[in-house]
Amino acid sequence: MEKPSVWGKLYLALILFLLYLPILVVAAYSFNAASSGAQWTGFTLSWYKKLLEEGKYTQPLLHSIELGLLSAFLAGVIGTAAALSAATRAFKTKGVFESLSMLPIMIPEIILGISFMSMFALVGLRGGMLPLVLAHTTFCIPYVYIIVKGRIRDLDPSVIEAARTLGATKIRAFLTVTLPIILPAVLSGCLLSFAMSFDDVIISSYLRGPTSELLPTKIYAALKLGVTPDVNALFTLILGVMLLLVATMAVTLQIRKILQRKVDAQ
Amino acid sequence: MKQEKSFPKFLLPMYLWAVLLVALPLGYFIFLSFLKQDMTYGFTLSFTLDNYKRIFSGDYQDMMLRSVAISGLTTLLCFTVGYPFSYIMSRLSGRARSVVMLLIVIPFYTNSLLRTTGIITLLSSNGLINTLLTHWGWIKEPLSLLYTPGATVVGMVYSLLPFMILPCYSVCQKLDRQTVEAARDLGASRVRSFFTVTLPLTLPGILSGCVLTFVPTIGMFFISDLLGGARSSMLGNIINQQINGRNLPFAAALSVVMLAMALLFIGIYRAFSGKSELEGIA
Amino acid sequence: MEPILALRGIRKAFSGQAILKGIDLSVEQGGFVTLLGPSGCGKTTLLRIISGLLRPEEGKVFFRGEDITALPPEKRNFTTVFQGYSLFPHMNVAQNVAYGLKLRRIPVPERRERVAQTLRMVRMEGMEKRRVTQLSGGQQQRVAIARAVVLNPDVLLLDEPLGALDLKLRREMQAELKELASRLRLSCVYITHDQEEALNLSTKIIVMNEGKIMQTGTPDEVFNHPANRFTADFIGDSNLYEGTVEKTRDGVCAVTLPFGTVFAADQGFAAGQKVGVCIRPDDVELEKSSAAGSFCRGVVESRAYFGSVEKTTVRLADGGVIHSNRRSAGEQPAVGDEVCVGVSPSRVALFREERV
Repeated sequence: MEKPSVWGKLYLALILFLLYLPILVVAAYSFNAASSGAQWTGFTLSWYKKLLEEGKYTQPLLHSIELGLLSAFLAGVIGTAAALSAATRAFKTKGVFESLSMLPIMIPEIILGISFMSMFALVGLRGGMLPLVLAHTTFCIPYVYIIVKGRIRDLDPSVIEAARTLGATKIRAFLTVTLPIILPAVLSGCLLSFAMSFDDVIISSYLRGPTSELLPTKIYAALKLGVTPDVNALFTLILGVMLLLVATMAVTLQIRKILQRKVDAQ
Repeated sequence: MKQEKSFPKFLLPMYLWAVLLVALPLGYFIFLSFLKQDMTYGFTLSFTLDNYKRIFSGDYQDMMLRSVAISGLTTLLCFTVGYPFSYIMSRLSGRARSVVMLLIVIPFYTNSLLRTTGIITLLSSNGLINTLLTHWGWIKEPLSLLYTPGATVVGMVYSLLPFMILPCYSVCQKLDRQTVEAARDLGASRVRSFFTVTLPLTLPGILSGCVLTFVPTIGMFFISDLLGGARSSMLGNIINQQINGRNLPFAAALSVVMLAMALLFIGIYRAFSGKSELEGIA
Repeated sequence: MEPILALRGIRKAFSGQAILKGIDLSVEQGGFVTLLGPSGCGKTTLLRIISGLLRPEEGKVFFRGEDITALPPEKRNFTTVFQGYSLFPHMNVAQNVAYGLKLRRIPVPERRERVAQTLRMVRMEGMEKRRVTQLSGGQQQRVAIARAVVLNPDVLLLDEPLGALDLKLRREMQAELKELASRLRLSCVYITHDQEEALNLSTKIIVMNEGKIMQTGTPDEVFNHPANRFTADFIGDSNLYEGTVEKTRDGVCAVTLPFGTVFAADQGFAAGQKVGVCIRPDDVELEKSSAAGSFCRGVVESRAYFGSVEKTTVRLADGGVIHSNRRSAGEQPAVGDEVCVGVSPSRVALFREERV
């Protein structure tokens, strides 16, 4: 099969450039001295200073991180446990339950948001973090479940049987063989869950209370009044942290690969 | 033979969760959609079909059509841009492929409001594009790019393009190169082998990508809110307005219609692809 | 001597379908027992019952006379080499081999010594740090064997361990495995559907079909004295006929076949009894003129060249055929030639015909 032509590669580059253009623009303008408009009036760090001094996003940021971690953890446990037993078994109600469990990421988020809102109002669950954690965990479980189940399906079940015949109890075999093999999938499911939770505007906007203001909903409220340079600065900070995380992961993986390759080459 | 038939206990938490936090809320709000609005209590327990009659009366027809049109256009644009991208990407060498993959995935981990903000900055009347065009003397008055349906579509395409690229890439990459070569060998032209072999074989990914872009767009109110302005409010915006206007039963009825559209779309996908899980989301 | 492993009346069914229908077998200390049969005959299920991964519905498993039917796999000192190798993908070669030793809390210096020694035995020394996913099929199989034998198992179970390898490598590994098993005096239960492998490796072969044991015996017994049509047909190429015992005298038994009368060694059948007759193509002699031991005539129908042997098909008077792999003493018969077909009585095997 032929390799992509120069035009093909140019096309990829163009789309990637367009995809990153808005992000780059936001990052660039967070250093612009002008308080509005696109005129470049000089480099400044004053928006960052303002952001840190005012601190009006600090509390929402902490709430969002807390929510993301809790949801990712709960979804990680529930989704992994389900994936572990679903991958190797068949029973009558499996299809129905699986479709129901996957529904949260298949239907528009606004529907989930409204149904949670009305349901929680009915049972008197209002304000605070609990409704948010319940809602976010609901749409995070499918991500973990799908990713982990995919990994388990690729795993040869006789690998676990091999551990048993070599003297490992069921629990020991799970801890020393199954878990290490699926761990990367569990972690990437949790990471995706965290990102999805951290990014959610729609569902959160129906469930947030005065004591549980979240970063995305706070930013959304601010954006309705127009783009301000301090929001640009905030985005740039978040982006920076996210990129740093991705880069660290990529570099660690790369280093491990290189080390392993050296051993293999011997 | 190795599959066990017993109901596995580790699945129980997820199933309980699905019943209590998916089935129950959804059922409850479908129930709500058949009730009457009440200014003091929100709703009264009397059965009515008025909410649905109102949706399909003249007042909301335009909005519904516009909603579907914007979502449909977004899906079409994502496909037109994303499919060639995925196809070309699947033929890159291993290292280049993983770099491009990383670049496509990173936006997943950035904020969707961030991209929307960037687009506002680009399109607003004193934004980057207008400023540059005026600066070069191509236009005298700033173009009104923001607060148009076009701006909404651009914003949605930006947010959802990766959801089209990932499933399409996943099938393009799995595509057995030899079947295409066989088609060429049997005398099909480049174009013909594409339409008779490549396209049908990658159809599940395309359909999955369409579901993954179309379904979120019909409910995504914040993009049309921030970029579209009043003239391009979509189903999601109307629902939001009804919630703020405390007409929960009508908002529920609108959501049920939206849910029906989403499930219809998923149903079509399942019927065509014969798969229950969406291609390429894992 | 008491067998190290014995199975009595093992039955197992999956979703109502009987897979094992009453299996009895025993493995002697140091014996190499092969379960031979077509795929789906239940041999893998039987192996899983021995390893403890499955529980039989009926029957018992004994280890040195002790009932271990209910014992989980980790409590049996039996190790298994799986067909797909089943190496731990997240561990390197040394970690894979050390896994069982670690579970048995063997101290690190001894562990390291035993891993090194075993890897040397399977000719994998110097590969300790390699990722197992980067190894070739043959190398992976060596690691899988090392991982199993490093524990000095009481019984080593092997589930078609060479099935995924190509022919040449399979022969090589067969020889190594045989050498390893006898050097370590391992008691082995080996599964294969490859009859050549079974004949080469085993001290005892158990021929299985549809969940039942068809025949148990040494390689020589099952090859030269098949007890029934299935064994005769499954092991080696064969010419199979139905006949009637005419008379038995002086240790020689005359059997009437549709196309002539063949003489066999007396195998205890009475006159008038219906028997199955098995003649290996390697033993069928074709001569242009009638010679001693020839029992019928036929016309050469086809000849096929296979390098070391030349296979000749002869059409017999009654319309049946007989195959021969032997070269004639004199001039080779050509297609269309009439030949005399002969076989030495000691090379004719008789068995009871189950369906009459």
